[in-house]
Amino acid sequence: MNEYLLVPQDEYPHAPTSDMHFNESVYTNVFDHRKRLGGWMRIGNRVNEGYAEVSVCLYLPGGRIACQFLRPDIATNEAFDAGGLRVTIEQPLAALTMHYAGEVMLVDDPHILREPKRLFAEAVRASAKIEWQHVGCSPLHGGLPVRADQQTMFGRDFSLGHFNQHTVAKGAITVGEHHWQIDGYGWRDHSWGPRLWQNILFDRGFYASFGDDCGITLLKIANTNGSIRRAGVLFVDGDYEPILDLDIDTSWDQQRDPVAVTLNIRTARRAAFIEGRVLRCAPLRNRRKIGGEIVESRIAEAFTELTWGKRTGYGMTEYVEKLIDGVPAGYPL
Amino acid sequence: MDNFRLEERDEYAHAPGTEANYNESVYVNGFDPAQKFGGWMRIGNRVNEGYAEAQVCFYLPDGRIACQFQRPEISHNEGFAAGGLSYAVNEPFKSVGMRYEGDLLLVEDPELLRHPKDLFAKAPKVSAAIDYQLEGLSPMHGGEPTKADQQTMYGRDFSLGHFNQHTRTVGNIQIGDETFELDGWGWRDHSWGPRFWTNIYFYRLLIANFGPDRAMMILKITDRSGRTRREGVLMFDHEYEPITDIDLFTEWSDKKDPVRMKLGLRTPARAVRLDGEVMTLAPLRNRRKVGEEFLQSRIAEGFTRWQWDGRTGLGMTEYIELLEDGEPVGYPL
Repeated sequence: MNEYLLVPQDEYPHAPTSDMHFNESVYTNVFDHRKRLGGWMRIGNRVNEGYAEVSVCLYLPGGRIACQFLRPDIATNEAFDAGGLRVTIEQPLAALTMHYAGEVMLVDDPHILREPKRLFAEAVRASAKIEWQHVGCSPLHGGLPVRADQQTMFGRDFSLGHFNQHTVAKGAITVGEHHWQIDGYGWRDHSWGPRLWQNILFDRGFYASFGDDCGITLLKIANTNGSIRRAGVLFVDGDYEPILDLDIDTSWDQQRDPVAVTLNIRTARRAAFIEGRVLRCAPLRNRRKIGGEIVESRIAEAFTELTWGKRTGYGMTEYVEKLIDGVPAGYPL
Repeated sequence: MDNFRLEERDEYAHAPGTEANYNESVYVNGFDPAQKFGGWMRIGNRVNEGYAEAQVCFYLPDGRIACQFQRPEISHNEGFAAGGLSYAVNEPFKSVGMRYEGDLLLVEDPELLRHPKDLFAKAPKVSAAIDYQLEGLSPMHGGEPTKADQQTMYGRDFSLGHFNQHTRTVGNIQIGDETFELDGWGWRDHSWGPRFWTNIYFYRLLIANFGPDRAMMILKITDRSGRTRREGVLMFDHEYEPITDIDLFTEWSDKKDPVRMKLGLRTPARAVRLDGEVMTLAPLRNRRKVGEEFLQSRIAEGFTRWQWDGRTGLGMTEYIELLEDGEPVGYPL
């Protein structure tokens, strides 16, 4: 990710291209390490399709998930503000806040997330107010490719521009009558360009922090032609070290969701061995009609505790993969 | 391994290049699944240096190793016969044989192999006669590259041409007053071109058979720039499937030798998981003087039992890597 163009203006929405599937999205995650609670929120403007993807997913103490998934109408790509979810940039490339005010669904058994109709029909609802501010504690990683033949992190059919950053995060979560102050660490990204979730054959992403000086952004991705790439950085002592190699071993549950991972990572400076244990997995789905066919991907979003040497970190394990005859395309590796 | 030229004449010795370190080598192995023993033999002609590397290494059922490492003088590259080893092509691409007649060193504690001077001084010597016959079970894999910029399996500073094949291997082995009839499976290769062992920064090579219809030849290799390639084939129902991904995790002994491996493999047709356990390991070394400096590589040769889908396989685990300040450069990943 060395040769990328990134300017403060890239924090704000870009002029959308004419691609039908143009997406511009901001994602942030936050975890309070002491309370072992947190979550992620994402707003993805699909202005050429007339709606935004709004996702809120909180992993609450006791294993409960509070979530919301909306597709509010939007008419412009001039802001990240839809469905109760809003992004404000306090200082470009340095600080932003994500706010949500609206309803969430309370889920005790995450299996119901596999069946969106049941989820929306049956889940108990509560009002929620979430606000978390991110202050970057790492360099920025990524941007807009500067050459036409340049490999991008997720591939150009998933995003053209993309940057991400580890953060120190503070804020508050109110769900119904419960209130938590958040004092922790996080990760955020911003992507723009054409995107179909189904353009990823499978990926395994790990986005976690071990404090304000240490973290991981790790991706193993297979594009639909089957070629597999490894990308990402280790965040060590305040610097990003590009990864040279990544091996992943995943343990699965009966539903083929990840329950534990081991990661071997090599950079030019070090070899790292990280073990992860999924604390709670939200087994999400994305469905889209392509041609006359419904194409479905599973998006396993797992709150994960990670151990790297003597340090403990928290963050997200994200397994996105097409379902082929109902089976995730990358399973069981 | 597309775009490789391979003809029947490549089974025989080639006209050597002018490189001082030109190597042309043939290697065979075979393991008996019922008796759980076997071994490998190799002749590497280095005609421009005036000698051959002649190596024999057998892993006996009781854990002893019977081995020999010689550098007999040779004056031409017209065949593979030196130091008591001889190699014959019975039928190109289908059948080869390798024999050894001479002394073997009997090693009860493989640690002795770390100290070649002690090995040759202290290990009991017994006379041996070994006859291995190998019949091809798989397609041929590899050959000589047809384009100047074509990636070769191990890199052009380790071999220009290289092909290999899984085999049925039968053998008659006399070591001292012990006789073993070997009836099993194996693998063979043939390489030619310039070679320094110390040109490999580090690699992990995993070769095994799981009966007549399933086998693997898996290579994960990293160069000095840190670039890692994943190569090889998985034989399934007698057909070779090219490897599209490898995830490898190694457990180590306190001597930093591989003890157990977890392996995830992907081909266009399948994703599989295998578990390997090194039963007996020969911790070998290669030293070479470059200028006033000695370069040293460890060559860990582990006789390994594998589990794949309820099937047991046997074969070789070979970890080659430069030692820097006495430390294997790829360790601990």
